[in-house]
Amino acid sequence: MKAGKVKAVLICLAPVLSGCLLLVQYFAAPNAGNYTTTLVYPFCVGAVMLMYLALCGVSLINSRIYHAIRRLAPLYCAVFIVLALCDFVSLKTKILSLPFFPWPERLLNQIIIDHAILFDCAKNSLLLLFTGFIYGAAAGILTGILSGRLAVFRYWAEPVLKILGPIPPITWMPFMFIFSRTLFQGCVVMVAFSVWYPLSVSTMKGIIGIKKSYIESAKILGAVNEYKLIIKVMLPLVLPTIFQGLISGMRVACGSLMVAEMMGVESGLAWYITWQRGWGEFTKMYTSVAAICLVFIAVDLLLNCAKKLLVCWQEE
Amino acid sequence: MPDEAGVQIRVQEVVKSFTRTDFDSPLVVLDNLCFSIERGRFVSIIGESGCGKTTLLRMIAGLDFPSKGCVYRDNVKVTALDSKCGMMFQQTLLFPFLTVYENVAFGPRMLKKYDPRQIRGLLQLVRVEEFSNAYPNHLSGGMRQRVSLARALANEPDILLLDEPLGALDALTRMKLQDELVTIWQKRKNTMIMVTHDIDEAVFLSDTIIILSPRPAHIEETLSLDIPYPRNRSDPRFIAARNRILEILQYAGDFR
Repeated sequence: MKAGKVKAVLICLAPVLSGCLLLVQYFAAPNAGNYTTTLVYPFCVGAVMLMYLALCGVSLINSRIYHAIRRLAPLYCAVFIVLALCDFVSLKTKILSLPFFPWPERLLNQIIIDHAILFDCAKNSLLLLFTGFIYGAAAGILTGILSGRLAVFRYWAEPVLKILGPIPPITWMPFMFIFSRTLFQGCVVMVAFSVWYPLSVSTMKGIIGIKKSYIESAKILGAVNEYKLIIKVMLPLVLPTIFQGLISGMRVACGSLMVAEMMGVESGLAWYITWQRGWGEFTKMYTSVAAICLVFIAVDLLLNCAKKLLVCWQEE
Repeated sequence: MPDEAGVQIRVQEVVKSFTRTDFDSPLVVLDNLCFSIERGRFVSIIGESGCGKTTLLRMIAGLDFPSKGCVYRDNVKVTALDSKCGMMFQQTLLFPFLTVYENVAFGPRMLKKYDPRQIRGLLQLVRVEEFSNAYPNHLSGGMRQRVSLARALANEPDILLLDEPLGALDALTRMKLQDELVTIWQKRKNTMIMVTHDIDEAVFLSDTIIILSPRPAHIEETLSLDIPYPRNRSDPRFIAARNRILEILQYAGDFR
């Protein structure tokens, strides 16, 4: 029992130890060549470590936080080790050298310098993504409902879905840009198209798969017209499948957005990547890559949280 | 059609057949069925599996229609569903996305007759008020059937159709719910029509039992049970009724 406790404490404190290792290497080991560093990065690492230690303190009285920390500690520990390794191969030994491989401190400073333009690019990317996403989701759900409920509609829609399904949405990009009045519109259509397909299929399959007896029991209870049946019974029943479609659609849409921004649109995070690469500014390029990662992880988290909230009735 | 005082449901010369894709001839399930049910009765329909009991119930509800003949509800030919005719199924078809309370309130909300006091009253009646905020997935089978019963009663139906409502429950829960069904029926005085495989259950609950022959089904016999409620399973009249049914179903020798 005692040994188990010691092990748990050691695991919980492992991220602090690996963080210290990172800082010791950062300050004690000499930098390679003429590389110079600032104190911003160690300050941020120190702040994160202090926050983690504060959480460890709270975990002594809150078992939920303790279990979360116990579960995530090895992961946090690995993050610090990876960062230390990045420092080692670039800043300290120049195994991977500039301009292609900036070290974390350099990236962080660049993010701080460029935060305004990065923020603006992220805003534009998100605006595009969500405009397209909302249109695509609405069209997908509508197509799914109509094909799920009307045999005639399904007869015509199914072959279209089958043909369009396997083709990656970015294939249509040239057409989108020819037929749309603005680049923004073209990109919105492409993102919408990326969401529309998976959502149409998942909604249709969900609706077709609803047990007939559910519909009958709803009818017996008074939901006799089709509108009430769809809104009050079918859509809530297929909400888990709709969310599956939304989440996979969002992933495809993010890909389409990146390609569209790299090819035509004149703003956004992927546009920034292409622009900076043109200038040979690899550090700036990486800051945008980091921002893209953060933004898309946040979007995915947002969708998963919405799913958790709205489909809380689903059996685990 | 001729009107008889007190008759709520009349099944007149009903034939039901289903077309089969791999056979030339249709499958005749119900063959010239005729009977009537008076208002306020508790009628059980028993017979072999596949003899069309559930089909008969569905035709009374308006979910299915006879191939020949007619079903009348309150002297009106059944052509559609009616909220005055509720139904409870063997599987709990509670909506998993609604809480217990919202499931029971579903019907009244659809009919724009929602009254929170009535819903709370029903939840009390079936003894699930403390689970009103739980989702069906978190309830036991017995609890779910109680909620299904409350949901079926929420639209205040004159006729309640029960399609093997307790079939999926364990013996003890089943007996408890049988007691409660009798109490609810006596309180609310609506017509109950139940399909069951359980002869004891039929004798315990009903005042009339319709015994169907194997497919194509016709009425083998209609038994009226004059045993006072609450019924005792060891009452000689109870045992006699059960044996009589077994005899009609030609299984008497196997069970005695």
